[in-house]
Amino acid sequence: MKKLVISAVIGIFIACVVQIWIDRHIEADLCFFGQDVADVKDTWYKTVAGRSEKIHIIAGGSEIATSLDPDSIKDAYGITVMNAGYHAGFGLPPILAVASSYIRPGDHFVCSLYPSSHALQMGMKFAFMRLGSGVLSSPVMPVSEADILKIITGNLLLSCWHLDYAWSRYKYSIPHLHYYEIPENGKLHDSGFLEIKLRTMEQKESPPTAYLKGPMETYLQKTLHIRQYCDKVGADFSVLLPPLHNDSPAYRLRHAKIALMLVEHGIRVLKDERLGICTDVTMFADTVAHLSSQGVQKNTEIWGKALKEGSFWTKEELQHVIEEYELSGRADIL
Amino acid sequence: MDFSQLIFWRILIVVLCAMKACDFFLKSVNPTLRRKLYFLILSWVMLGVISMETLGVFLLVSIVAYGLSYWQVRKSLIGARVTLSFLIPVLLLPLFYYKYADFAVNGILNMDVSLVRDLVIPVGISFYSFQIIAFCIDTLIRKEEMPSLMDYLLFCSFFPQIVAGPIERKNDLLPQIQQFDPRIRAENLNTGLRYILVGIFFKSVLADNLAGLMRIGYDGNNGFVIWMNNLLFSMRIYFDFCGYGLSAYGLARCFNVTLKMNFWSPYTACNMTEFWRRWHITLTSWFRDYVYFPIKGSRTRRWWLNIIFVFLVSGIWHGAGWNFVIWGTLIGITMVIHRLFSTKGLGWRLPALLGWLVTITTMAFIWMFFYITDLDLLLNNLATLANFRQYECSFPLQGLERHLLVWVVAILTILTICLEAISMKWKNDPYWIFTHPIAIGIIMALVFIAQPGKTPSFIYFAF
Repeated sequence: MKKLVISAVIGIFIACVVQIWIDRHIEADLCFFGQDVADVKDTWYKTVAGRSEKIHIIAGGSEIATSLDPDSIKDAYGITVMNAGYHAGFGLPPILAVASSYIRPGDHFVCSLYPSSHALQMGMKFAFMRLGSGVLSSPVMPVSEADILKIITGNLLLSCWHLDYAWSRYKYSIPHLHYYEIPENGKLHDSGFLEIKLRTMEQKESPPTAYLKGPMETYLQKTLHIRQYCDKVGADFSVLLPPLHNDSPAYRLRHAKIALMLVEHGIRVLKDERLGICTDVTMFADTVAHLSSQGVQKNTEIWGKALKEGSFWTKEELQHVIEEYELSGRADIL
Repeated sequence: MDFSQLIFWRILIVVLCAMKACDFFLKSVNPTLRRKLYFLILSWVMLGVISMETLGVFLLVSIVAYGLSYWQVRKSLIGARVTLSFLIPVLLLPLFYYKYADFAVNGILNMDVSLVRDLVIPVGISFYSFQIIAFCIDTLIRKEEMPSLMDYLLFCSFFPQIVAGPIERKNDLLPQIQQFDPRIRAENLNTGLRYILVGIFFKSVLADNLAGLMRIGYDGNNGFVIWMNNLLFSMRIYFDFCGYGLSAYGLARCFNVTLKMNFWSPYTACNMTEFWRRWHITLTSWFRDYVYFPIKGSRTRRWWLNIIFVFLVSGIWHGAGWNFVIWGTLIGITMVIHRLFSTKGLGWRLPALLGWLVTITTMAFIWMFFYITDLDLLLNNLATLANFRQYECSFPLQGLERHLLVWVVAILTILTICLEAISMKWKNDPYWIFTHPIAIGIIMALVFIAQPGKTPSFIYFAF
């Protein structure tokens, strides 16, 4: 029995080491996002950092990395956009740290993450995702047991190292953590969220977040934190709902409610009539989140125009969208 | 009851813990009886988790069989053979209904009866029906004592083997059930865990990756691709089914029960007869003992017809469809051909390597009739295979990872078969080598690294 246990432990150790090597050198998605994309973005940024023009920095996961063409926007609308989309598997802090490291006073920081991504916090447990196997593990999106086994073993020893790698690679440093949960004088930062919520509850019978479940509160709280950071740096802040394929246009209702929640808490939401939901499957490539070349073209056009015109959703517009669905009887998707 | 899924192990652990807790309340009950009761409940929970219909059909079949057999043994009002002549069809009725009614009524008779269309086959029905029939025949013909209802039910529903075999015989499993003591014994636990791991390796690493490769690029107009898929499937079905059997063997061993080995490295066999002696051993021996021997087997001039008939029935057992009928018939024909040319016939014998190549190639060809259920597609494939101008050496792959995966899976598959042959020569046990500590370490690593993201369920669960 002792030999069996020893063999098993050694086997798991070997699995971790080999898995790590595969992740670093073979796994195409991770190599691409972890190294190539970072190199391209860093190089690009160095060429524009010295300019005085306003840069619109759009942060998100691979759904942003694969959905926006800054060159086309520059050609069509004359504005400078930085595609700071990476790989959601790195976790939220590195994504935001990378993007926020590019912010200068006067720039416009656009946060475009799926609401569920905010539950990722410090990065998914054991860090790396494998786009190839379609794994996205978070408290919100369940994953099969086989995938968990793969992730855990592949990254058991390396998760910290990988995160460190991502953080150091992307110049992740302590100051960027401040807007999360660094205790000050032994107390957590007051996010201002509770105060806002209470104020809202006084004014209405049912607060705007009443119909939204747990993850949405986290999403709102973290988004407010990011806005606070931007205020501190002197940059503009807004949210853009990322593209997602869904056969039912009624999912737009869900995003409309999320957008309304943000707007009611003083967060600007960039105006995209689709509210992120695209029913046209030809716009998508390998997953429900990554756009094809046709999709990128169309998406870039819509977002470029919104950024150029500085058009944002108003509360009334979003309420109208919601009422439209509720009147039509298609409000049952939630 | 998929051993490669975590949910199975979760349910097992939870139920075992609950049973341990129940020990406190049932101290006054005889320990052996208590343990049998626990495992009976555990087996029924496992079936019930699959579906209540699965559990219900199993209970119906097993209790009817016990009731009628008990009545015959106690009363003996009519002969055992007469009892069996109506007992066996009654026991086969649920199997026929769920598995064959649609094919028979809507397919062969061309009626349009929606009641029998798209029925979900209760998991394991083909296996436990045969196990129970064998029990009835052995008990009634040999006029043996009937076991207690508890022992009988545990014999029928012993959870490691109920869903996909091995099909156990009364004289092998029942004595172990009657003396059932699942308390941990280090040696058995050690052996059991090793076999479970080897089984999971066969299923998750080899079979599932081979399944993935099969899905990559099927091209019915390229003979090379068809042969590749046939070869992939022949390996896949072996590792899938053998993997299940090894895991079942290991799991039973953990509870101090020794099941029969259902496979004995069939792909190292050098002729068809040897192949079928090593493939799904418990099923082929069931057909031999309860179908082939009763129709006089080889003791008649029609021996060749008997062989073809037995394999045809075996083909039908596997599935309701003309492709399975053809599959079974083809195997029967190849068995007859081997017998005609072998030591029992003309006395010819191929050199071992050539015999092995012929066996592998023949089985790869015949497996095509197993996994392709569409007759039009089968005919198209046959036409392509017969036309040598439609052979193009290619396999559609995309990206470095695909190529790497192909090589890794190919090397692992070949290595596994070679190691089986070596282990057979060395220790007269093809799977011994995989249970060695060094092999266990490597297998553990491979299980964690190389299993694909989404695992298909065991192929034989469909039967």
